[in-house]
Amino acid sequence: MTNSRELIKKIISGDTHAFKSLIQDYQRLVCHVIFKMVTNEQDREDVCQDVFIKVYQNLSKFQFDSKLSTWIAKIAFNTGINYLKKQKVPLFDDVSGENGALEKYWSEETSPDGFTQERDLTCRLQHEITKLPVQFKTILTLYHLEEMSYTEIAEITGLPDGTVKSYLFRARKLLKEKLIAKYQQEELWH
Amino acid sequence: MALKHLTDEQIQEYLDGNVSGKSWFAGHLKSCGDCKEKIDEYSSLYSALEVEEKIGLSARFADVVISKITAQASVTPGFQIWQIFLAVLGLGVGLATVVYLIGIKSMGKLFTGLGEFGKISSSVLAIIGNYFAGINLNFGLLGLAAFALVFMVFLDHFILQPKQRALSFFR
Repeated sequence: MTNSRELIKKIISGDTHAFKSLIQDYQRLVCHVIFKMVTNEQDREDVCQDVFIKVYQNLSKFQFDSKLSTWIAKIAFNTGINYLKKQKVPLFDDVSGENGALEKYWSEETSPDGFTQERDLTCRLQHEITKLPVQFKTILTLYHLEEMSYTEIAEITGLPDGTVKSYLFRARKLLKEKLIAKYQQEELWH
Repeated sequence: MALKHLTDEQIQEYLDGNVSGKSWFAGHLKSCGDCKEKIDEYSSLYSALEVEEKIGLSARFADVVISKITAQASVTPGFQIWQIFLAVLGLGVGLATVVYLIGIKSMGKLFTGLGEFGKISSSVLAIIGNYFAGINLNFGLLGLAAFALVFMVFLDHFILQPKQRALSFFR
């Protein structure tokens, strides 16, 4: 936190190297969030740039009431959501917590099955993840790749802690079932 | 008594490290092949979820972000408090000078055709006129100073400041 304070102080005072350092430190996190939301490769970099521009513009308002990483990830998530809204991508609405809503969404998703010939579990899994609603993808990424807690993910996505946990469990269960159903169990799980 | 299998939620809690009675889980898994198989399936899924996807941003990503910020800052400079203060002061003094030079009665006549608004405006002007009549100031000189200040703020805002910001935004 102290390092973050010093870094932010330097950036606000106009230190370009400090801001470059911040970009390098948090580039991976922003990419993890944005790349899961934005499928168009050309747009991905532009959206990532927008995220860091917003980070710079709002840095003086950062009050250190959360980790800098959580704050940046929240900006990235909101930027990604705005991008999807502009692109008129339907967002998953599961406020009611209706059972089977995720499964219904999945069955309605008709993305091309490009990785069906892939034998590698990771590639197959990545393909299956692309079919998940954006909130689920983000939660999986932040939990497994960024090792964030439910509370941190809740702050980023604006969902309650319990919903984050529920989405995570449902997504993993569904992924396991889909992968097992789609590919032969003995071939996949070894 | 029938063997109770672990639920998907319990297995995920276990693999997430959120289960306190780990010894019970370990004991159960030794004796239950179905649950052991389920644990292995989830373990494989967890491992795959933790594999890093290739992240490709251009080598000049940070430079592009900085150049975009610099460009935005140079196009939309904001007013500073002292500039606003000087502008308001300049306008106030300028208005007072005009009132002094053409006379409060002449100014009042300008608003006579405006009904209620004209009456209020005439009253306000009368108050201002009375106030300035009570103090001994060189309004011609003040007017000149006000004009100079407004001109300087204008010059700074539209010409000097954008250039200066573009150069000094990142030192």
